[in-house]
Amino acid sequence: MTKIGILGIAHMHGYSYARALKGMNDVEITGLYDDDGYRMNKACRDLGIKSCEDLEELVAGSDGVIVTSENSTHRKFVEIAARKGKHVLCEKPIATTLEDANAMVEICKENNVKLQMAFPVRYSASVRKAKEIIRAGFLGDVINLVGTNHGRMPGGWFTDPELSGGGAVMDHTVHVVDTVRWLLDCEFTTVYATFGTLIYDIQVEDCGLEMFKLSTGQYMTLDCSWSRPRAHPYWGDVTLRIVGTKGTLFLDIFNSKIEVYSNESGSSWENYGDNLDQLLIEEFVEVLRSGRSPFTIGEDGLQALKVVCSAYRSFEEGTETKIV
Amino acid sequence: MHSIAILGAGMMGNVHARAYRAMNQTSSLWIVDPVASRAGVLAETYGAAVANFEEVLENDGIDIVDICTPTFTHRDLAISALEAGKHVFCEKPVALKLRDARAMDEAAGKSGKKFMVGHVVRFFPQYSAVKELSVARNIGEIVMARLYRGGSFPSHGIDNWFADPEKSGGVFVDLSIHDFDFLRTLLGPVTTVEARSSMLSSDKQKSSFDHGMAILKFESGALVHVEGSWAEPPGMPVGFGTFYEFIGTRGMITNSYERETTLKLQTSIEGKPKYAQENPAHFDPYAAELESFTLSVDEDKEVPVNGREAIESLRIALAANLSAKLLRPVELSEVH
Repeated sequence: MTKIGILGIAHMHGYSYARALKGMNDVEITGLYDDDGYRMNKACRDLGIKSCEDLEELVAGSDGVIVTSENSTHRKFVEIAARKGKHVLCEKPIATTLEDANAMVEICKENNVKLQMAFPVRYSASVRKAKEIIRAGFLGDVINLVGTNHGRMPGGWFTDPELSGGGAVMDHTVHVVDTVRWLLDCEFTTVYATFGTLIYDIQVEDCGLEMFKLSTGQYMTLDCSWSRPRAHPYWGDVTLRIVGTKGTLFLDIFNSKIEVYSNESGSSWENYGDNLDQLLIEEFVEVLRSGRSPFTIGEDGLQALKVVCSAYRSFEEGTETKIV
Repeated sequence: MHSIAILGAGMMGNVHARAYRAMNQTSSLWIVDPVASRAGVLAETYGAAVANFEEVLENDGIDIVDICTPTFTHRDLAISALEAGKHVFCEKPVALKLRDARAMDEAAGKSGKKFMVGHVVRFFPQYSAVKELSVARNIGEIVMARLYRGGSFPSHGIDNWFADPEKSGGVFVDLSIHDFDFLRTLLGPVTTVEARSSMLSSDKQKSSFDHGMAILKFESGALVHVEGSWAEPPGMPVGFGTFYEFIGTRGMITNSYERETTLKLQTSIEGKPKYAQENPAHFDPYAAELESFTLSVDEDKEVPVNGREAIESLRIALAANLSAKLLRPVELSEVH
């Protein structure tokens, strides 16, 4: 039996991960801890799992933990787990500062525990196929990339800079960055970012556009905006156009959709594609069982966060900025 | 009734000749092209006469000159025609340089004749509806947008002039200028452009190929991403398409050539696979555009897209080119 505890349920993905775990054989959710007792109890009721007041005890009784707390509190939970020798699956972004992210990667290394990053997009079959297509040379030399990761404005702690570290740029830069790093075996070297709080009356940015240069020579733009209105039938998207000298490839990762039109609840789209959260969780369980390294690691989270932090710096300076 | 000389019997010359003929079965049309056979074929198709440019300038019966030639020839042709007392319609982009465009606009001012530039996207129904829809459906102020326009490389250009950045200006100046112009009408002036294009920015270049990405900041605060592409391989079933999304403070408006299409064909013709995806329509935006021009001439009123407007739209495209070349954001005020 593989025992997994959940630390923090601030991020809605925690619900999705818990449901994935519940559907697996020989996996036990040891319990859920959250600093916010009300939130903890509500999630435990909704998910049918045990609440744990004692964080240390929960970690001690688990083989690994999933951290889905607010962005700025990831470090605290990862450190507790690492010190007890427990493997970790950490929600993205890895942290809100590079100092925290470095410390997290470091402490996991020191304690010989695996740190898996929740970058589910990389687990998509379309992304894998895209990598094969690029490798086979079907696109020729890749020249430019155009990415989007749109979403609805999530509200709640996501708009509290103390807890989230920032708005749309913090929330929606890392998925596509991580995917492209893997697709092209590259790092992001420079960024120009412009953003604004254009749609909502909130404390963080809701719209952002970024221009990157990659270590492999390409240029790339990314739209990370929380620009899907509530009326939109779907939460958002992850898309990537890859333009090469011989051809182009377009990825629309969550476009496996069933359109539903209801007189009661309006229009909504239902995704029937592979459940990427499920694939992410299966990977984590496999890591716990086999002891091998995860497909998406803490270092990936750190590299993606470097891009984010440099994007904020670029915006402050109004210029293109080296990613360091 | 107008007597119209079309300069250039290439793709746009064809489109305009067809539109004029559809507007008026009996108007007199003249076709001018240095390649006599091209002029002849077009003249025959639409019941026009073949002439050379000097004959057009000297013929007082011809009141309108419609310039459908490659961009780098626009300036001299337009100025000569205006000085000869003709009303001038000029295909976009108005010119490759601001000083050329200004010279054309000044010539128009001096002549007192009408001068209009072919920013036809303003006449495409899925674009002309945006402003009205945003108000009627209450989507609020438009604060963000993404626009795509592109397809295969335009290999129909004579001597492959589109491939020469000195002659076409590349994908921003020739193609994305449609979106820059439309955005200006919708959102007002642009302040900053950050752009890259394969022709001007990449170290892995390829001839007859371009792809550009531009991030625009508007005075209003709006942020816009414009993508222009001549990067699709030749001979693809869908050679060209457009996409947009406009984000308002209370909703969004979006349209895509991939989603919204009224005719799809899959067959084989003489053993060769044939696929088509189209939106055939009776309404012809080019005809609407040219009709608005002749109406401005008839009623002696301001043309829908004058020289000053074309200059401002060109300025954005040139700022994109400058940014793509210098690899840094460019203020519009740097481009003059």
